[in-house]
Amino acid sequence: MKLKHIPYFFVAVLMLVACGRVKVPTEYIQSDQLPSIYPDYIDVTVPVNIAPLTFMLDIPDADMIARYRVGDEEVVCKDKMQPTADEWHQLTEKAKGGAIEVDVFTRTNEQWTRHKPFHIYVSPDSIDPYISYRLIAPSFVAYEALTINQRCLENYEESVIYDNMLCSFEKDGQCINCHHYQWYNPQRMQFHARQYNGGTIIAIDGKVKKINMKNDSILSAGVYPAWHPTLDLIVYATDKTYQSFHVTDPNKVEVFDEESDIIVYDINKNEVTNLGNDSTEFEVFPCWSPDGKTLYYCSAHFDRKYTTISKQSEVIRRYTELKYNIYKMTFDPATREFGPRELVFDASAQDKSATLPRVSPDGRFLLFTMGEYGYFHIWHHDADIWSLDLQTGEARAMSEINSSDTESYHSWSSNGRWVIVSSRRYDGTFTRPFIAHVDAEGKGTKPFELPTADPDYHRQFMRSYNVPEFMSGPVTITPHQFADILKGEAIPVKYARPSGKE
Amino acid sequence: MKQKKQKEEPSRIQGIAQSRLYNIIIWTVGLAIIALAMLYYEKDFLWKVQEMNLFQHTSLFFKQQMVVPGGMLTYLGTFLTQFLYYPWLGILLLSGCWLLLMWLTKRAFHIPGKWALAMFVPVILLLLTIVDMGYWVYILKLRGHFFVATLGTLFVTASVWVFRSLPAKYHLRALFLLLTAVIGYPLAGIYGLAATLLMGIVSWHIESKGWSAVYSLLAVIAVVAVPLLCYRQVYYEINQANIYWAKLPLYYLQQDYQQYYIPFYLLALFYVILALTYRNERNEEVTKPLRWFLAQAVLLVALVFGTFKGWYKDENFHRELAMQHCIEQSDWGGVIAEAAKQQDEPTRAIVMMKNLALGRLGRQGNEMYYFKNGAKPSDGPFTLRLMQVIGPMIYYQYGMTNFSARYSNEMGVEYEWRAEYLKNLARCALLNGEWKVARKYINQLKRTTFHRNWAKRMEALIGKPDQIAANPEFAPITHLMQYDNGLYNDQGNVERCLMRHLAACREVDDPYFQEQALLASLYMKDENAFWFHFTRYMKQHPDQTIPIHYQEAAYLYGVLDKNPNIDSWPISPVVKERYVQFDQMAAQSDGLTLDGARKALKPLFGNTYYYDHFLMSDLSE
Repeated sequence: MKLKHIPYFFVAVLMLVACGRVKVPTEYIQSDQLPSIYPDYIDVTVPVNIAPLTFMLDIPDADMIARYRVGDEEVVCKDKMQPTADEWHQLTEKAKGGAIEVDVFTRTNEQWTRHKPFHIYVSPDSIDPYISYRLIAPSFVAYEALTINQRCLENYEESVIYDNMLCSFEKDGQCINCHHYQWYNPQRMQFHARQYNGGTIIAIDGKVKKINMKNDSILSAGVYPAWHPTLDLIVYATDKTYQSFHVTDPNKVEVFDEESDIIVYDINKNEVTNLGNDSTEFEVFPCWSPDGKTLYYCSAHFDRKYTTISKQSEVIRRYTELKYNIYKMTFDPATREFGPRELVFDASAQDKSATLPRVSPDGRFLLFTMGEYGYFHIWHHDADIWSLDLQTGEARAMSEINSSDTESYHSWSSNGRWVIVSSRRYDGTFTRPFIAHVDAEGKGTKPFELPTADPDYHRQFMRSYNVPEFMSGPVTITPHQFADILKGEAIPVKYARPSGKE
Repeated sequence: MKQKKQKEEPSRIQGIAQSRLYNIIIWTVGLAIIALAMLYYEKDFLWKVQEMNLFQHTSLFFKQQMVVPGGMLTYLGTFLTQFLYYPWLGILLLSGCWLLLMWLTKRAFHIPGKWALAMFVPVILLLLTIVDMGYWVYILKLRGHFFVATLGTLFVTASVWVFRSLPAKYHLRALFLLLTAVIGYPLAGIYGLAATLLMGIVSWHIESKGWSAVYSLLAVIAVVAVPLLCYRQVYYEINQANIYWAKLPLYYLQQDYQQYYIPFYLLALFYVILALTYRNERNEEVTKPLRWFLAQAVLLVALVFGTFKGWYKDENFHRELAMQHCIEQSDWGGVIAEAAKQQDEPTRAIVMMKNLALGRLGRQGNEMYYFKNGAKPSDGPFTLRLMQVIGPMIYYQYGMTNFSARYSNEMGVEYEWRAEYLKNLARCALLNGEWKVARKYINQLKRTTFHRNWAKRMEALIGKPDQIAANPEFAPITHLMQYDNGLYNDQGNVERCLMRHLAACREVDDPYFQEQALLASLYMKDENAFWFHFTRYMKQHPDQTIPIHYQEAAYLYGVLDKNPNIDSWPISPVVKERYVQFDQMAAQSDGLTLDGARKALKPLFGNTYYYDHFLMSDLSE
């Protein structure tokens, strides 16, 4: 046993103590009400290889005994439902393609009540073993400790990929963002560090380099990345970004671009090229199709009306008019030429704004986030996940996944059967990852919150999960290796004019 | 007879100096004086320290402290700091720690009883690390600082005591020295390293020359290597530059403020001297009573003088804390009583809190210029902005809850979560009707020992806007939550942002809000906004005497506009007369600098809007 596993050992022992000798009450009142539990795992669908689902009663001052049961296999826990990994895996193996039946008994005033049972459906579709995300407090300007973490979905193990405090010292603070992988491959990742020791980190098969992507010919260093599924080519949005704060609106903050473009970065040549630079188009969020032959992205058209004020002031004044549509360009991997822009989804025609296009691995569905305006939907309470069937052109809100609060960032699992969605459904402020099954016809199931060893963990935790991404395994480069590279000089990129232009 | 008396004198002094009772009396009396001084002079500071603390009874909280070296000290420090909720209890615990420290120091270094007074040296230095904080109380990143240095020093002395008490066989001392570095560093940060180094020095006196060299070398290698190893293998949340200073407070903003480290340097020096002068046996006798007595007197004077000089006594700092304390208790009269005591030029924070209190009591229009006014920067080697001192609270009290919550969030991120930030976030969420996130913040506070009851009271308001509107604390704020929405970045200028938005709001009928908008137009010196709000004010208060400052503003703008109807306005003759006098005296002051004009006109007209309008513009926050 490794030293770092000792805490898990103790957790397992505690779970055994909690679940080992408990029996369900024999005398109780039967209720036709479902129990109020946190997280809400009632009738969710989970992958067969997911970590144990733990939950607790969401009613103060009441006792709980809960039972997971599949056939003659059962696990009974008191106070908190925390089965051990072995118990859980026995249950999920037996329930594969079926369901775990869950009984919850609650006791108030010495009287036990048995609630209407519910199910946890176990899909035989497995899920990628790892996700990564940035942990960030829901603040706006200040940041201190930021980490990009990875979490094994098959258990509760979480580790740091990189922590900005390794390179931060007070005023010389460092912001990190936009972790991204080439087709779920943890050996090929990139992220940005801003300000102190800033640059773009690109790790390819164990080799790490730091790139300075700032160049006079482009708006800014690369921002939102999209790594080609097979080529050493990363497309970025570049932008001049600002934020401003609502005095009373519940959305609290608006982040907007005054200018934005798309650039292409050739990793091997260390060259960037502009992919159009129309000042009336605000392009953002590029995304490759799985075959690497189409580039999707969003863009909002913005013509100036008021010449007496700055562009930034005008954007602030007209922020609700920023409506992003989804476009695409064909791409020839052999010649590396892009085709002309084509409209994919006209959100502005519905007076809405569509962002974050993500194509399913089978290439059929395009998930995106839809809100009333703008592109920073994580702070828009109305934002929802939508699905566009690329075969039929039919778009719909995924009501089976959405909640009454914010849904924003989303990512497909590599087998296309699961999506992970950033949602603020539990409190409207702290983003949590929720996972939902999506079948071959694009129909989703009720999503479940990322399971944790202590079901109360996410309620205690004061940071948001930002940009959850599936990975086929863990990133093996250590945080200190990244820090060592970040402390060094960045390699400046060369600018190459777009082909066909002087 | 004479000879006999001379012989008796030293023995009596010696007896006193050597007796345990002497130690007990001198220590307890000294600590009692320190405790009473803190409780009397620093009661608001102690309140603030615990508000800026957070200790939660959860394993997650423990885990979060342990991700940096010395995490255990923060955990214990925050645990003990929470008891300052009852200041006497927190101070009692601190005094207990100091008593233990004195006893341990005496034991660890074989200090004879005659030098019991010297044991106050580390105590006074530790006291100074607390009472010299000043404005760092708002921004110091070391949570639990109030107890951390004391606990760390206790760790050092206890470790040295164990080290020198171990038998000199089986290399027990060497093992313990290494253990102190390897375990002590993760638990106590720099204090683990300090203990290791002191053991290396003490070994010179308790080991043979050869072995003491080995011990010293071992100590140096351990102190250099352990933090480096821990940094590479264990910790991800610390910069390499900080690894040797872990759990020392970071007095760094845009630059280092070394003066705040002086007590720490002296503390280290004190223990190094004790270690260097370590003896297995020391002479307990007072051989030269006069010299001993003089030495005690000099030491006592030095300790008292040092304490007095090092104690941060700035009036504005303490006034701000006292006012904040009153506001937390909705004691508006208390805020005004504090404002009335003001001697020095106040900071904008003091002026804003005074105005807030006057506004709550409906006295602002008549009295707000009758208190000391100004914009003195915060005292000290660095300037703290109003936003950092009272930003979230003042936005909350003025009903601009989005901005208030935003700053609490930003500060929570920058300085780690504190009870004060969480309370403010809970309050703002309740006022915004954001029940779910209100519950989250409230639950955070329910996991504390002393804020639990407050949290339960707030919990009872979730989902009950009617009860919130009727709640004595929330009610006036709900009247103010009528701002027009807009996108805005205040750039940290709280007062200007608030006043600008208040003055700009035109379609609000609520009398309290409307009067605040009128007052904001005075602050903004915005004549159009003034007339708009003043006209509405007059309609809303038809049969009431117009507050004096509104009369002054109306008359001033009337004169400036050469309004022909000015004489028919219901303005007191005294107001008119004072304006004429002001105008004449202002003309005589022509050519003076702004400061000169302020000085010249303040005695006679400092309590008028005329003075404020012409001489109190562009006040720095």
